[in-house]
Amino acid sequence: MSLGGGGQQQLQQLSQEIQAIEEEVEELEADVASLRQEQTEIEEAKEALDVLETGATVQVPLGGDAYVRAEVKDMDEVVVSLGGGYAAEQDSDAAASVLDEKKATIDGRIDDVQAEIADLSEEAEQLEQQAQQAQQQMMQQQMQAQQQPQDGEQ
Amino acid sequence: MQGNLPPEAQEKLEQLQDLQEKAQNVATQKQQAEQQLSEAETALDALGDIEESTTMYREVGELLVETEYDNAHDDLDEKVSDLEVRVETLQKQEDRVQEQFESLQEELQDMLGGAGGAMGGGPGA
Repeated sequence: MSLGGGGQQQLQQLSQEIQAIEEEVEELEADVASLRQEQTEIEEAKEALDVLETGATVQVPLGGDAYVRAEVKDMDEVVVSLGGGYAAEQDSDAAASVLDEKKATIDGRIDDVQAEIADLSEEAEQLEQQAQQAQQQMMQQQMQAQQQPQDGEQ
Repeated sequence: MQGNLPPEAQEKLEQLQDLQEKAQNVATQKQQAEQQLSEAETALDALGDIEESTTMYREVGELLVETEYDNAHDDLDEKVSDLEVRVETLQKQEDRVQEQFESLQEELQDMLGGAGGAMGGGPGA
C-alpha cells in the first residue's frame, strides 16, 4: 500500500523549503545580534566621550586583563572611523555626532533584517499550512484506498 | 526519492540543484558588495561634512596611517564606482541564473508530465 508518490514528493519538498527558511532566519537573527553588539560598543564610546576630558587619567587595556595608566593628552583629537577604511581626527562633539550617525545606520539595518525575518517567518508559516493540508489529503486518500477493498467484500 | 526518476530527469534535477547553489553564492556575493558599497557611500558623505584641513587616517590592518583628505576622497570615490559596477554585474548574473533555473524547471516538469508541481519557486527560495 503506497502513498501517492506526488503527495509524498510535495511533502518532502515543502519540508526542505521550511528547513531552508528556518536556517536563513537563524543566520539573520545572528546578524541582528552582532549589529546590537556594535550598537552597545557605540554607546560605550559615546559614554567615554562624555566622561573624559583633557588631562583625565585612564587605565589603558593591554589585553589579558592587564592595564597601564595614561593621561588623555587632548580630547579635541578624537579619531573616529568613517567606514570604507578611513578615519578622521575630530573634536569630541563632532566625534559624538559621527557615532550617532553610525548608530542610526545600524538601527536602519536592524529594521531591514527584522523585516526580512518577519517575511520569512510568514512564508514558513504558509508552507507549514500547505504541508499540513498535503498530509491530511494523503491520509484521506490512504483511508479511502483501505475502505475500497472492504466495500467490495460486502 | 530521486531513484525512481528517469536518467534524463535525474540529470536535469542535478543541474537544477547546481544552479540553486550557484544562485545562493551569487546572492551572497551581491549582498556583501551592496554592504561594502553602502559603507563606502556613507564614508564619502561623512567626508563631505568635514573640513579639508582635517587630519585623515587610512586603516591598514590594526594600524591607522596618516593620509591626505584628497587621497581619501579620490580613493573612496573610486571604491564607490567599482562597487556599483560589481553590484550591477552580480545583479545581471543573478537574473541570468534565475532564467536558467526557470527554463530548466519547466523542462523537468514537462519531462515528468507536469507532476513536478511541488518544485521550489526559484533558486533564491
